[in-house]
Amino acid sequence: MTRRAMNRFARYLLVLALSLAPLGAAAHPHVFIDAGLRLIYDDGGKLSEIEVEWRYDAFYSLLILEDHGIRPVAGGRLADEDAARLAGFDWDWDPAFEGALYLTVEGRRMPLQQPRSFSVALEDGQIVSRHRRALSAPVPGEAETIIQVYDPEFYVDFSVPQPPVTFGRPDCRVGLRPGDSYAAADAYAAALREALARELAAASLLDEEMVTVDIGSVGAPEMRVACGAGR
Amino acid sequence: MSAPELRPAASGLRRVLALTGLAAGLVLMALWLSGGLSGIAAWAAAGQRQAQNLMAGALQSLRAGDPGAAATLLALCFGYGFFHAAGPGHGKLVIGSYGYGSQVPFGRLAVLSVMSSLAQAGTAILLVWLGLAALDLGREELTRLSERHMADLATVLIGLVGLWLALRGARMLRDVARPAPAHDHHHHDQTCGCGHAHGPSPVQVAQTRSFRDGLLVVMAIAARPCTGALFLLLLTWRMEIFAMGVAGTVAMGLGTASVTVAVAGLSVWARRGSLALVPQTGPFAAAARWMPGAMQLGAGALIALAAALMLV
Repeated sequence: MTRRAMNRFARYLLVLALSLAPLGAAAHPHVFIDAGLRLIYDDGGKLSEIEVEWRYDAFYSLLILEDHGIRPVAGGRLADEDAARLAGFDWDWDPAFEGALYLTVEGRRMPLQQPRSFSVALEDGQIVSRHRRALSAPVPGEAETIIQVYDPEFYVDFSVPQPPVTFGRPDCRVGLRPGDSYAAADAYAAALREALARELAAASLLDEEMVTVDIGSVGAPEMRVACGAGR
Repeated sequence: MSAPELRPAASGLRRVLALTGLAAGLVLMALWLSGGLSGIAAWAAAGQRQAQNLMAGALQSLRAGDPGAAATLLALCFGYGFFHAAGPGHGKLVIGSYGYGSQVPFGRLAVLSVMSSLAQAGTAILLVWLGLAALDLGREELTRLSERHMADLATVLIGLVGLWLALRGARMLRDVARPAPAHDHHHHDQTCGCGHAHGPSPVQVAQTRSFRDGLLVVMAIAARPCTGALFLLLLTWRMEIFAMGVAGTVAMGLGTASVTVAVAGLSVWARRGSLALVPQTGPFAAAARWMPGAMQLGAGALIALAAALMLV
């Protein structure tokens, strides 16, 4: 084989291998969470804080309870001291952990502060944990805000069954596009093809950085909020 | 690979059947690469979610002393394993490539698939039992151990399976290419095939049933226990019904095997199809000599590369 032919062969092999990689690497979700959001606006009409509710699947809830040695009291509720003990159990204080909540305002990612006001309850055998995240800088409600809920590692499969509720402003329009795993995988394959095409267009094969596509956010539940008369 | 003693009609039918397998494999592959199979992944995740929630209910009933809940739990675990395996996974990658690239017969590959799944269940059971009974690890330490370190170990092993296949494929190609110039004018007729000492004959090749192959395949799959099984085992340990957890984990393994056996069948079928592409006579008949080696090298290189990319 000539050098060129070998190069071409190596490229095809790489394309195929890259296409195969997600098959092995893609994580299966092991925890299923129904997320709910409340958007809190301050007196100036700015979005200042988000209250997050995570409702865990019954299996993972049972695992957490048993692992902490907690049995529900009568009525399937948690004793107050158990609820207090569990509060914040699901927060990872590693700064790299973004809490599966992503805010984009007019194309810019808005940072959120570390959470506060943790609480945990048990409802119908499902753990419901809540916390609040303040925006590092409040955003005018008039700006269109896109909120996404997803775990980039897809260890947790997040769903958002209900659109977010707004507090402090009556004039907000909220749109929810529920998670679409079909779209997610389609978009993923498309993104991968695109990235590969880019990669192959570049002359050098292995010097280029490897293709990475963010699987997590594609097809993730997405909410759009805008307040006021505008638009 | 049609045996020479077959009558032409029967051999033609076999060829068509084999080519259908290749076509089915290619269509599935194309669908999957283009995202067309994403519906299956979504359906699998939904099924897994439902099985997971129902398992919680069955475990609660079991604790409440309902003996009928045991059968329910086992059935749910089987379903969980099935749905889990219907999504993406390393086991299908290994079994599929090994089945396509090597000369392993279907029956043997099917047995390997089941053994791999059961061994994977065994790893989870051993890990949880050792971790809890002997090492007194917590839930998070255990899952981290499994998801970080054992997953990496599994990926390395998968890469080794790939390298092993690629190496063997390369060696087969080298043996085919080796013949002295005297062979250039050598005429291969239909019955002659490739039964010379200068290269591996289809029969020799088909008999390459190495025990090491099987061991490596099983180990590569079993090294990475399923997190769902770990959850179940941890949970039942704490609930003091660990035996139920063990039984449930085995049921999960059988559920997983039901999918990998199907993948095994498809990969062997597609391999036959690829080999049937080679005409039995004419100038391209000689391709039959290097096809098996090339397929093995290709399949092996693919898994090795995929594994290397996963580790990066």
